[in-house]
Amino acid sequence: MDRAAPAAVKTVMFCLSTSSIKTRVHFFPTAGSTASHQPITCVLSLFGKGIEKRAVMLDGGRLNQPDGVRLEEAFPTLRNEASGIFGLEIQLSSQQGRVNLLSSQAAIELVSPQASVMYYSAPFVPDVEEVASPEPQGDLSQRLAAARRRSFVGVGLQDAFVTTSLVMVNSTNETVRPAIFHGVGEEAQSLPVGNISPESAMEIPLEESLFKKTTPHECLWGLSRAEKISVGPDSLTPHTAFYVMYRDPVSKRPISVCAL
Amino acid sequence: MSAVETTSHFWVAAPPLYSSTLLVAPGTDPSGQGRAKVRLEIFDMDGAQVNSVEVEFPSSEVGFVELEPFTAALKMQGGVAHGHLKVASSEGTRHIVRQSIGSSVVLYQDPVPVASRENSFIPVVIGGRREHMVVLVNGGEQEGQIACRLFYGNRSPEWTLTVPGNGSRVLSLENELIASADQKAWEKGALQAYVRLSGKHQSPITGHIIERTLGESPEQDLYRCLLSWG
Repeated sequence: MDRAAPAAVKTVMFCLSTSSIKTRVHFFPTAGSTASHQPITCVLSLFGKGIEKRAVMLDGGRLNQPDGVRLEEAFPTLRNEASGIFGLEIQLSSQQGRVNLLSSQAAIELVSPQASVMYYSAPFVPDVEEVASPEPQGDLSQRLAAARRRSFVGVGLQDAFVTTSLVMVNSTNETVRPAIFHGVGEEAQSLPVGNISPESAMEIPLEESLFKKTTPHECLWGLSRAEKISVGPDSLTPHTAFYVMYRDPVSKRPISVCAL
Repeated sequence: MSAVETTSHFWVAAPPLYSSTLLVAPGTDPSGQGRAKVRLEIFDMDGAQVNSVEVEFPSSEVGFVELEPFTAALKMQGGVAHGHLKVASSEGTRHIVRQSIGSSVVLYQDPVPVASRENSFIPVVIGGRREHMVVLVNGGEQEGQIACRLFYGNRSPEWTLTVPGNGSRVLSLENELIASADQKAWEKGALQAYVRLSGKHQSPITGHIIERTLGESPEQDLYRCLLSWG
């Protein structure tokens, strides 16, 4: 038992539900070197445009054992009523005392008949009541925290095979106005993304005009342009998440997602 | 290069099936001269350095480094000529690889290495015309071992895999790992499974899986990269 560990940890992700894309959520509660298989509670909260935020508790989770669920099974509303992009909060906690779950991991799989895409969440952080808790314990969680600080940065890419979107998720019940930038160093400029409504997820395609000032690179696959995308440090909170999603420009299907 | 560096470890493989490009989003500009420097070291699967190069580009833009010219000396193992790319840049730099595998394109950031007594996981669906290649890269100089456990159905066989210092290894999940422990009952259908990687030594090892979904012809095969935590 670790008395300094937060009682619960969480991460914020996004999922898609359309006629051709369904979501599977996978999670792996782990506490570094702790080898036990004690019960773990996993609570999924789904929110977004057109649906009320709702939470589902999944039974049977165990420490150090990966598990997963089709999101439609947890939230039947996704079978027919709701369609689009949604936010998903994953909260993990131990039922038997405090275990440091900060190095836990979660992945979302966007499943379509043609091809599926899987991405990993931003690192888990202490849940809201645990803001004053100590720094993450253990090597891995410290490195993950460092990775999160480093990963304020992503790359927007535009070529014949890839277009880029920014996905922003706000799990709070307040409007959030994030600071997003494009460009490097002194030439970085604010990217006008507007507000993120309470309990919502939104996808903003990076327009062609954004890449006009960038240097085109003649690559093996053709002409390609790239732009640095970054999130202001104050905009990254335990309740918000930002992802760069790459799509096929023709079919529009997602091909990769990177957490910021 | 500044004293504080961003260092990333990627897996690279040679054409014709694989083609990789490194994208570098610069962080700080320690020289103040408007130039960003990236140091690349490429090691073969046994950890021998086969190439080393320093690339410079304007620090006001994202740098592109096509990796194909540096992969010629990589050795074959598991049917693929592959190795380990170590990238070092100034603090705050982001490294992303754009990899073409056949006709598929993936973009990924550097996976977080799993060191001693740490874990990561990768969801996979086994069966259903899919094949999986487990890819391991050792970012440390010492030989490392990693425990690879596969959870599927009510089974969870585990293998201990060794990767040379600075080296890389690829293994077929179906033919080299599961086949050694099972009667292949999973082949009848598609089954959700999970790979758990647990570090056994201090050497930091990254792992990911390349999934191939068989098409009507090899040209129609689809690939995707199932990364561990990154």
